[in-house]
Amino acid sequence: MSVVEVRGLRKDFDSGRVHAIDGIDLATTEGEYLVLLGPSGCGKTTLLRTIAGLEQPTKGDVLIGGRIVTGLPPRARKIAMVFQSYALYPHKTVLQNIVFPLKASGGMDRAEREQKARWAAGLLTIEHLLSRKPRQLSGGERQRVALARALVRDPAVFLLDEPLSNLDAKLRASARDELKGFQQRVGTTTIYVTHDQTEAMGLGDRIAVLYEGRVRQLGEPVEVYDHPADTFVATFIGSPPMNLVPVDGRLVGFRPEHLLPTEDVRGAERTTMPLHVDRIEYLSGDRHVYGTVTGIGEPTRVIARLPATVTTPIAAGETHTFAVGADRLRFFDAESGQRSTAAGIRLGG
Amino acid sequence: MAEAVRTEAVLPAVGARRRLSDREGALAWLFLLPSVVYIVALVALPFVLAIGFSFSDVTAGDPSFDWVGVRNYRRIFDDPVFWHSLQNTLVFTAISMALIVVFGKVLANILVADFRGKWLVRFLVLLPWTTPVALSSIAWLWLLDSVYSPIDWVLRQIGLLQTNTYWLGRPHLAMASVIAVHVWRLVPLAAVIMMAGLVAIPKEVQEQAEVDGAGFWRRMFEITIPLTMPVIAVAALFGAIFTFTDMTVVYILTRGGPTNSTQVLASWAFFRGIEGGDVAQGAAIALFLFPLLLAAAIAILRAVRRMEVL
Amino acid sequence: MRVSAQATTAVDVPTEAERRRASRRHRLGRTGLYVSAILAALIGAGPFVWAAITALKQDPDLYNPDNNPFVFNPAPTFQHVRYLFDQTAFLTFAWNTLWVGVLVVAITLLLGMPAAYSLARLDRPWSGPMGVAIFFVYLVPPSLLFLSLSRIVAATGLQDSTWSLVLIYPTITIPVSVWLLIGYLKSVPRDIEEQAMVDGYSRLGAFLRTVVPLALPGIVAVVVFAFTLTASEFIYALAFISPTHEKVISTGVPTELIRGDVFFWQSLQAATVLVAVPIAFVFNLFLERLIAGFTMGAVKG
Repeated sequence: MSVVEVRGLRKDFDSGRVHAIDGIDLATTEGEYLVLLGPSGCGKTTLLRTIAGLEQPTKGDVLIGGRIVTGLPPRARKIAMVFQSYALYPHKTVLQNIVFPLKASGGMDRAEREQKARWAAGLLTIEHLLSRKPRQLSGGERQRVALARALVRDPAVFLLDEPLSNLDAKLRASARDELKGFQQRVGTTTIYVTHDQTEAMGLGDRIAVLYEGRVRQLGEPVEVYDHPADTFVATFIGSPPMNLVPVDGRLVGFRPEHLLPTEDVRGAERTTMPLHVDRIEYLSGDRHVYGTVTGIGEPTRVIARLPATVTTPIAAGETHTFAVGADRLRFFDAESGQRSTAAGIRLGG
Repeated sequence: MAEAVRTEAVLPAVGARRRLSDREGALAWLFLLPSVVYIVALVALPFVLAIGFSFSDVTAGDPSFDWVGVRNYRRIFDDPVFWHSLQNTLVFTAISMALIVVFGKVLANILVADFRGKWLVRFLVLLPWTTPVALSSIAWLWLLDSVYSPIDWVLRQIGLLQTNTYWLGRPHLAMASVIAVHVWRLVPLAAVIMMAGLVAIPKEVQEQAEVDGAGFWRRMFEITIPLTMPVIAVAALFGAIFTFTDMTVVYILTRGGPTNSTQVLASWAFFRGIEGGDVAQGAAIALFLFPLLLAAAIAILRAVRRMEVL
Repeated sequence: MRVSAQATTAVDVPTEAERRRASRRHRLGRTGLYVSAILAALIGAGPFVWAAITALKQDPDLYNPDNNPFVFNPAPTFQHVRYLFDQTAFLTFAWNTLWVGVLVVAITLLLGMPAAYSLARLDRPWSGPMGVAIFFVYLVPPSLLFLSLSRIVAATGLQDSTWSLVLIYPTITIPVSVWLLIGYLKSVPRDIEEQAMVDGYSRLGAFLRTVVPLALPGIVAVVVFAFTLTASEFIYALAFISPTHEKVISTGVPTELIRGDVFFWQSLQAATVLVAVPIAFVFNLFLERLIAGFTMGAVKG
């Protein structure tokens, strides 16, 4: 039985003019880390808030633990939520912050509450901060307090709304690591919202890619990366994005790391194309080659990512023949953007 | 590749004096000076003058200034009306302040919520504050009239009353009436001030409290009120000042009666000083307003400093 | 490895009965909100609604303690309202209040804006304490100063002239206006001013061209607030001015329409309503800005 389920969900704003959620069906598996990924405005935060009960859906239902919770206030849903700003109560100490959900739900006396809070603090290694106030804490520390507070209620699901975006870039990687480790230790189903596809790929057991209020693809990171369901997913995931070349009313896609000089592409089945090089960027040991590719379809600007192990000399201003393994090519319908087949396409070369 | 365009940079002459409009120190003073001068001339000076008057024998009939030491103070200390006024001032203010803060908070919460007809409700609720106090007091004068009061009429219809309540004729009822008018008038202002505090609480903190399981009352007392304390204090301060120093409501509603039972320092000073013609005594009475108010203000502000969280 | 004793999700999850209870509680909350809002509106505006009715009542209707005060027994009449306009100096009072208000507000802005700017932007070590000091001026109230000020006003020859109010009222409006204006000015981001200065304006020029237009909504709110303070003032107006045609509404209406023991009740109520409604209306228009100013001043100040 899924922990969180969403059926036929629709959410309109502005008297029906804005379809923030345009028909979503989704179900989590127990203990999984599900990432809602998409650009701003795609509806991911609205979806999270609807699951939490902070927004009421226009149509459809939200189920938690198999029971319909649509219409119930957040506190009746056995959820815990962490906002982007962490929303720590500024006038309370860390301990008081963590204890607050326990006070609110009642059923424990003071000693029990404190014990539970200390347990949660211990799990997140913040015992030494218990008497501080939020304004005395760093970003990373605040995140841990927010997580401890979420943990303390034994919720059915954690809802996290872009909790890493307020951290320094440097801090983000280690925070991501901590977050994933924390979730695996605790084992609670987690729904995590982000616009950062690197985060999504790194954290998610499954990723739901959202755009314009609908789920474009739901799958494991490898699946979403290697077999994107449409051009939006194909270009949103992966950095630099997948190259798309128009050919005969369809789009042929291949990722930059699969576009290599012909001599470096092993395997019998490969498609070659001449690439006129504009410029080359050196990033963390890789070479990013920017240029225009011809010969397989319309001339298109592409990016090729050459790892350090590929030492073939490439120079700007020259034309070099590149190739992509046939099994690496993906096909999309040019109008709908949906995944398509290779049937009926003739690729020159 | 575009050609870099050569521009002739115009460098300021070295050592050029900055114009007056750039010299911050001078500018800061210059901007502040007119207000400071004005206030010193028309507030500080009269204040000192009032102190002077209190030690003099100035009256409306004899405006010459003669020093008489503490005679005026001895006179007013001997006058039971003075002590009664002092007590009334404190009691009225304390009770009014408490009611104003509580009702103001309730009203503020109502006005930040979303509902149909909000604009109309806001308009109606602002009327007590925005109307000149003399006029609204007159309206209340009739509402509380000993013969024709509509309030009495309604009470008679319901059967709670047989004849008339002498709202302004019986000492305790009169005091209650004065307090009621003060509260009625100042609750809108307090509400407006407190709405500022409510609006300043980040929405996510409120939502977090909801998600964490806090119901309406817990949210109110553990989150909202602590976080709006500074603003509540400001509203309390304004309420205190306007009630403490008011003379209009008493003047129009009861003229300090019946038999001086609703007299406050401000109204008593007016009656003595202008209608009684004894300027010196009026000044002495009124001077007690300042130190008391100062003490109250400092107390409130200190309390706020301690609660500064954000 | 699971650490938390996480109960399987079926337990503790809400039931249908809870859903219905929650929705009922929600509706109860909404009803409570509407009831309180209506109650507040009735209490706040009740006296004025009733004043409006009274203004149109005929004498025999009004001076009969058995008649329903909320209904017209003989038909309503405008005679008392006409009396207000024809036989009293009501229009003169209104006009006086208006031009005094406008001038006082102008003086307040003229003196207050630069002062607020100085305290908000030009960080001097004395800025903080100065701001507090200005507020403390409020603790020396008109009910104390009116005695000495009547002397000063007489000395300047403005005794019994409406101009005396123009001179004195800013002492009431400037402190609170400066306090509010500081809040508004602080809300304008510094970058915009600094951009203007880089673009070639002096500090003063940058201020006039960038800060003032952006703080304009707040300035308007301060204007409205200051005007209501001015229109409401009573003590000074009563103490300084005796001649009828120099009076303002605040003192004119009570003194003209209460002759000894005779109260011209209907006209009084008419005057009250006629003055109250427009001021409240304008105040309501700018309420949001005023709240924003209090946010800055009270929360941050």
